[in-house]
Amino acid sequence: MIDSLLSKITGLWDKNFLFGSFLPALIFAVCISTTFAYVLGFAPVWSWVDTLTTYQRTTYLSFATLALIVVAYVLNALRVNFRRFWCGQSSFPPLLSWSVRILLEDWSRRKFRKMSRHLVSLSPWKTVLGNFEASVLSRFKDAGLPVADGATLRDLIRRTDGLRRQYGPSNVQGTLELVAKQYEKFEGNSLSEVFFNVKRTLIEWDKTEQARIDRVPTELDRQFGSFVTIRATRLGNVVEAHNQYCLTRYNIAAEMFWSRLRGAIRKEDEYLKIIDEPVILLDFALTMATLSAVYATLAILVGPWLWYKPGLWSLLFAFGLFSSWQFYEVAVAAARQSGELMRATFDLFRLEMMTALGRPHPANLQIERQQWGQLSSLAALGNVDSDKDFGLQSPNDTEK
Amino acid sequence: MPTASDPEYFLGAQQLLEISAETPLNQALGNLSHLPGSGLILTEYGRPKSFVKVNDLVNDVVNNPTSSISLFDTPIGNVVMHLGQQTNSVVPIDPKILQPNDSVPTAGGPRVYQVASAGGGWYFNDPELKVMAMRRTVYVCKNNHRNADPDHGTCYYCPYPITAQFEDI
Repeated sequence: MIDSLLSKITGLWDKNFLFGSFLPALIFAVCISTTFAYVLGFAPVWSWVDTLTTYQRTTYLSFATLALIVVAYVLNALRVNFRRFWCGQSSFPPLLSWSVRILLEDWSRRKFRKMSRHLVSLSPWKTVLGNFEASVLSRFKDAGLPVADGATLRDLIRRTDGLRRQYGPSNVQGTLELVAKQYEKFEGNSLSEVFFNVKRTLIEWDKTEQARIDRVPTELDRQFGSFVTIRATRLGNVVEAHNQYCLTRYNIAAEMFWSRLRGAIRKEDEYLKIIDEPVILLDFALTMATLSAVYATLAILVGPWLWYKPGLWSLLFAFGLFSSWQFYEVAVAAARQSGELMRATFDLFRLEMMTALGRPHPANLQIERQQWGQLSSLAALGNVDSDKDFGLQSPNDTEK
Repeated sequence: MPTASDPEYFLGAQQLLEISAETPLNQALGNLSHLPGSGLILTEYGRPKSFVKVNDLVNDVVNNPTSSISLFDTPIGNVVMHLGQQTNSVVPIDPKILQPNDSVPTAGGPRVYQVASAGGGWYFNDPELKVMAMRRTVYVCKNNHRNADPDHGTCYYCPYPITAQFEDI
């Protein structure tokens, strides 16, 4: 019994607990104590500490340590809630979260639609170049007009060098139309340097824009799940994107089968450690983001009642919010990393899981998807079409 | 009968550009403009399929009655397929891979063989083909501007199209 108790206590100090809960609790406690010490004044606090006997100090320290462990344990238990909150799935606080969630989901949907539109878009710069070429061609004369002088060429090159992709196709085209008009005044061949400059620039922009468009499917696949699984926050959408990966590729419900997959590859100890690393970072960042938000709230709501100094509490409020935002950004990066590893794990080990679940190796992807569909149906709903379809034999069949 | 490593007929692998059939024609020609040559090896699924005489191919594309602009944006494999019998710019690569000391017949129409020497290479049974493969092409527009590559079939210095006139340096 004592051994069992000791192993439980030792389990508290594993890396997951230490970084995911204890360290955030410690940092939060230090921030709160320092703020209080500042409000009361550092000198009186130190004087009070000096008056304590060794026995009193040991007692206070023991209580503080115990309180810290309890807080850390509570934070550990609340991890799922923190994750739901930052993924935009929480209903706390009731009315506020509902309205904010509706707004943020709407904003995410708009972003999703905007990115989806780029999937079928084409670079506009090829058209701009074509229009410029046509415009110059209609005005081009190789005789009968004066040759463009150096100053004119320099001015036109400076003007075309000043064009920026960010100005947009219509603005750029407007400027190029002015350049094309110079072909009415000067011999066309004397402006070849200007033409070359414009064409080279537009070709470069076209390549850049095309490369950006080519990246959109990958970006969309990593930032969002599908239109129906849109979440209010970026973190929620990144998590959904990785969950949807297994569903769309293999017909596997990732959330349902993740723990089974871990069980199937438990011998791959080193690999499991690798996939756990970003999860620990994600938990740490989310706990810190939550505690930073709590600190900011305490600073703005409770602070002025302790000591009326609006400047100080506003500063601490801003610090808390900024810190919360930064930790949220870390959490998004960690979720991306974790999601990539999750995708890789399903790609690499899903057939081992299928073997562990008692199903044969499928001959092709189509059969594999059917098998995962059956397994999902069994796991989620308890439905099996028939034992035969599922590849299970009845005891009577075995006897025969 | 010459051997497969005869310098009159042989060209090292690094001297000839290998391009996937899925590469757009203008991109293939842009890549070729960095090399002193007018020929390239067209590969399909990583395997060499044919030798393309770029001068002839661009000439055929420019003079093709269908829109030449769109052909420059088309994968080079599709361009070759589209032109079909109308072009003699494509020389097949024999499926047989030669060893450096193998004797190769020079008769029987132009043909290119892959040679499995240390660094690999290509054997041209027609020496003219090899000479052409090592000469740079300059694409000249209607306005006599010289271009390193034909872009989308138009000049880099004026809006006029690349004409069927080519120069070898």
